This record gives sequence, structure tokens and C-alpha cells, in this order.
Amino acid sequence: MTGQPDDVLDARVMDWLRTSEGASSRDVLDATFMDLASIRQDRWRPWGPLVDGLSRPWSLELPRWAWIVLTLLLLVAISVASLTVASRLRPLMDRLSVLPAEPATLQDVACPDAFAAAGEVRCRLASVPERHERPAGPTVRLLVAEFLPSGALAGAPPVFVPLTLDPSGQRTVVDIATTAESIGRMVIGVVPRGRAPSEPSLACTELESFEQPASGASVLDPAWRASLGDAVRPCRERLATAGIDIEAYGLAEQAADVESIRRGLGVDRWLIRTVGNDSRLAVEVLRRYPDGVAAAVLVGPSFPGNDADRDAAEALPASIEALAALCAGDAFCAGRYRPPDEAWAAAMDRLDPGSATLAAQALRSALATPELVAGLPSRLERLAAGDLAWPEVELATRGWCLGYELSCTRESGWTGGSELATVCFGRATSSSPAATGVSGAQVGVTDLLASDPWDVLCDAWAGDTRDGSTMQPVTSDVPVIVLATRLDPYHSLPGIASGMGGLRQGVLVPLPWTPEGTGVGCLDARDAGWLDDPAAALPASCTGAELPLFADAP
Amino acid sequence: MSVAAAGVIRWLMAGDEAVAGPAVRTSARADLVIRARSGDPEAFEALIRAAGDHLLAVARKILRDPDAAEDALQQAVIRAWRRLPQLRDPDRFDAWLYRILVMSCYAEANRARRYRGDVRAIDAVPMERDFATRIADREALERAFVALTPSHRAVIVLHYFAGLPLNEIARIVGVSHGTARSRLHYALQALRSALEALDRADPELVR
Repeated sequence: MTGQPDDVLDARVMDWLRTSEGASSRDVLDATFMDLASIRQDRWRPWGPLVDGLSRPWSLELPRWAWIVLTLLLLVAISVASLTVASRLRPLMDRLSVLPAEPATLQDVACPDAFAAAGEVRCRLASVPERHERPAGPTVRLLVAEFLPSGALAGAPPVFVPLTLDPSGQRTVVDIATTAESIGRMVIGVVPRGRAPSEPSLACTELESFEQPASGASVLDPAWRASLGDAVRPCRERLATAGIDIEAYGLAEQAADVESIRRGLGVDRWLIRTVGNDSRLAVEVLRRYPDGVAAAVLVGPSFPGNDADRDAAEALPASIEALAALCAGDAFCAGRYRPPDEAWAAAMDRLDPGSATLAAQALRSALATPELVAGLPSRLERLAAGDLAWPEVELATRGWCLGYELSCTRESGWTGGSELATVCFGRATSSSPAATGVSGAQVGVTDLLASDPWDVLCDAWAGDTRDGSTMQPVTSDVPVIVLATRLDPYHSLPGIASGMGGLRQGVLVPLPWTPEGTGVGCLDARDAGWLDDPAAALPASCTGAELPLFADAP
Repeated sequence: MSVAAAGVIRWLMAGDEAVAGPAVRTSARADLVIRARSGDPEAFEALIRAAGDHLLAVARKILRDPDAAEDALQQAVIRAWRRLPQLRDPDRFDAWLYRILVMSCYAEANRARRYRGDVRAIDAVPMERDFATRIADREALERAFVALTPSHRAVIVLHYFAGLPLNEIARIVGVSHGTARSRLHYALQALRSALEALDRADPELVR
């Protein structure tokens, strides 16, 4: 018979286990104690219990609450240590991935005609390797323009700016010349690789004939979105066939260009100033070549490491609220118009999804254009009444381009390939806003994000060839001042602050609104002291509030 | 304060004493420990002599080898003497000594491995049951017991032979309470299985 109950089995086991061994320890102890007198005791050591405890922590005799506290403290300590180590290692890893940047070869050339309006400008052509890690390989030539103010400060470091010229070039050139004059320093503009008149040009003439959708609704049309990729691919193939190494036109090589040119010019250290998305280039220079940068001024920047979809989903509603706050603070606006945020909400309730997307696109375009802000409250009121005329006119006349407020025309400076190279190699592979967890955005905003054509464009242009080193959050000890307006419909202030997390000497200056746009002119001659001493007080003109002159829009 | 909250606080505050129960220690014994800790060999000898037979029995139970058990006891006594200044709480002397003994048993088992295939009969108390049955049980249990690892054997000996609670055993053998419980369960199950196998093989012996 088998299967006896456990208690019966246990009784038999216990009988055996508890059986006396009947052994005497007398003999063995006699022998032991005979020698004991010759054995010295270990000295008491204060750290003995600690060493024992660390080697066998479970042997510590503590109440449970103490164990819980110790465990929590240990977890906190591990987290802090991990973050500390990561933050210390990141700059090291960044430096390890730095491309070599030998001094560029510079040759004087005649400035383009547009520079005639800019006063004293010296133009040179800088030769740098197409791939900086292959100095003996093919080269590219970049236009370098030195804008000399009439009364330059002696010994003051010059200012580097990326120079993106429209074909006439006049507006950009005059703007930079004015900046040079106002801050009393030489400004050195460099036309990035891929953009004419730098050579070679990655201009995509194929995209000029690409037809924009007639209305915002059609940007969601899968067929139209597919046609975007079809328009880009022939350009890429043509350029590649011509021998251009397209993957060498990303931000990492561009940053090496900046460093090569600085060394070629013999500049010890310079200041960097960028507006808008050019900050991505500034960030890569800060990350890879910080020794050559005294300080940086980033106006309306975007930072790597941020979730662009999430940030954009938060930025547009926040900018509408900022507009509402400006309107509420102005007696004329508050007395004449419906609060802009209420008007926008009413419009979104009223419009169908396609029209809502169109309206969101137009609103985002207008918010990013300082001269249009004053008329927005009246336009939003009309939109709430169902009047879609101004969004359609806005998008048609301003030349909406591929989801961004760039006009895909030569007149606007759009070249196609260089923008695609700059954006796409430093952009994560496409994911839908839903996949990134963007939710709860206002009606219209969600579709606007979903309609972002850059996903399609970059899949066609860069495929899976992305440069992860330019997507990581930046860390730097270089002093950086960031000017950002609350009206920026692309980048939220929290998102910008998050992107600045690794800038140990970064200062964020939120601006309610500036008539010149995103802070241009803030650091004028009166405030340029900050450029020489970033520890000094912030420029007063950067923190003062100015209100738009609200008026009825046509 | 609710009953549940009071229970939680009791559980949080529970130290080892609350679980294991307060050890009864005479002040004279504590004095001996303190003197021994200060380097008095006579006090130390008095302490060890009082517990010597029991310690040797524990070692023999764990190792199943009288020679190895004596070696383990001897090593344990020497280690205890050398390390005694590190003992902070004299009332923890017994548990501390058990721990040194168990570690010495592990070392002895790992060093010699003499217990394998060298099972010896041990003296038994006067038997009240059928002699043949007891012998069969003993042999089956011996085989099953020797097949266990020394760490499993230590847990079951300390619990059922030395009568120590699991919390105390966990600290002595240097594992968590859950691990000690698991080892005890596993070891007991192995011994039960040995008896069941014996019963199936020879039903005549079943009571």
C-alpha cells in the first residue's frame, strides 16, 4: 500500500531525525582546547560589522521598516549614480564620435551681387572634404562671407551665423549686415554645404514642378502623400548619379565644416547665433567642437532628443493661449474681439476634419509670422463663424511647402536636397503621432501632425540611413542663451526647456512676443555685453513685454 | 488606529526577536560570553563544553560522517575563539555559534566529500517498534538524506533536530527566510519520497 498521509510520513522522518547521535564531544574538545591558548583572537575592528554586513547583507538584524528604507535609499542611490555616470559619459562619447576638422582652405572670390547692399563684405570660398574623415577624398566648397561693421569692437570674438540665401539674397544679407552693425562685431556667414552658391548644389528642380494640394484636407490623402516620395526619388537618383555622396550632407559633416572654417580663418573662438531650425547645426557644433565656441545665442530653437510630434501637439494650443493672453492685456483687442482661444475652440467644433486641418495649418503659419499676429484675433473670430476664406488665401499666397512654412520655390530660397539632407539624416524613422503617444490634442492639430509630409519625404530621401548621433540630447558647458516666444506654434517652452537640460550654462528667456519675430534684435549693441560675459545680467530688452498693434485683418 | 493599521505597523516593526521569540539567557551565561570575548579562555571553554555534545550531534547529522563532524566542530571552535571579539550582542552567542558550525560543516563537506558512499550506522534510542521496519526506514532515509546538499541538510537538522525557528535558521545559514523555507520543504519532501518508495518496494514493512 502506498500514499500514506504526510503526517504519518513526517512522524517517521522525525523519529529518524531526532534520534540521538549519542556522540561525546569530550575527546575532540580536549584536543581543541589544548591548542587554544596559542591561538590569538582577532582584534576588534570598528568596520568589521560593516564589512560583514556588506558581504552578507541579509545577515543584518534590522526591523522590516529599516529594510524598506534601506532598499529605497539603495534604489535612489543607484538611480542617481546611473544618471551621474551617464551624464559624465555622454560628453566623452560625443567627443569620441567627432569627425576630424582640419583647417579649411580659403580662397577670395567676388561676392554675389546681392551683397552689394550690405556694406563692407569679404567673400571667400572654403574647401573642405566631402567626408571629413577622408581628407584626400572629394571636396565641397562653401561660401564664407565676413560682414564688417563700421565700428568693430577691438578683440571681440566674431559671430558665426548659418547663411541661407534666397536667390536674390538681398533680404538675408541686409539683415546680417544690420546685426553686425548693431552688435559692433564682425559676423561671419557660411552658406551650408548643398546650398547654392556653395558647391555642389543639391537643388531639386524636380520638386519645383510638384503640385501642392489644393486644400489642407488633401494632405491626408494617401495617394498625394505617396506622390511626395515619387517626386523626391528622381532628384536623389540624379544627384547620386552625378557623384554626390548624399549621406555626407547631414548635420555631423556640417558641424565639421563650421569647425574647419573657424580654424581656416584663424579665429580662436567665436559666438554662434542661429534662428529657428538652424539651431540643430549650432547644437552639433556645441556637442562636437565646444572649444571653439565662446557662447551661443539660439533664437526660437529646436533641440534633438525631443519628441517633435508631442512637442508640436502641445505647442500650437499653448501658442493660442499665449495669443489670448496678449489680447486680454490689450484694451482694444479685449474689447473688440472674442478671446482667441474661445474663437479657436468654437471653430474646431464647427468645422469638419478636413477644414479643421486646413485651419490649423493656416493658424500655425500665421502665428509664426510676426506681421500677421496683430490680425489674428479678428481672423479667428471669422473662422469661428465658418469663414474659411483666410486660411485658404493664407496657404495659397504664402506658398505652403511640404508641411512647413517654407515655400518650395526658388524665390524663397528652397533648394530641396540640402534641406532634406539636413532634416532627414538627423530625424528618427517615421512614426505616427498615435504611435508616439500624442493624444488629446485639439481637433485639427492631430490631423495636422498626421499629415506631416516629412515622414514620407525622409523615408524617400534617407531610407534607414539616419545619424543617431545627431538625435541625442546635447550636453555642453558652453554658455547658451535661448530666446523663445510663447507664440511659437512649433516648439513649446517646456519642450525647449527639456531640450536644454544638458546645457549646464543655458539660460532660457521666454518672450511674450517681439515685433521682429523670434527675438531678432534682442541682443543689440546696448545688450551685447552678455556676449562677452555670459555671467552678466540678462539683456533688459530681451525680457521686456511688447504687445502687437491689434487691428482688423483684411 | 485601525486593527489593520496596527497589524501593518507590528509587521513593519517586527525584528527578529518578535518572530523568533525572546531567547532565555541567564546573566551568568552572558557574563561568560563577555569574559570570553575579552580573551578569557576558561570562560570560552565553559561555554563550549556546555554545548559540545549538542554541536557535535548537529555536525554529525549534517555531515553523516563522524570524523568529518569532529573536524568541523574543531574548526568551528577555533574560528569562534578567534572571531569572538567581533560578536556585539552576547545574547546572540548561540545563533552565532550555530552559524560558525554550519559554515564549518559546509567547508568540511566541500573539502573532503567523505560522506558520499560512506554512510555509517548511527546509534539509536531504544526501539519500541518493529526492529526490521526501523532499520529499513533508517537506511532509506540515510540514502535520501545523503543525496541532499549540505545546505539543505543544515536547514532540516537545525529545524527538526536543534528546534530552531526558520527566521533564526535563515540568518544562521545566510539565506533569506523564503529560501530557508523552500529548502526545508524540499528536504522534507525528499525524505517523504524515500519512505514512500520504500513502502512501495516492501509493503510488509508498512505500518
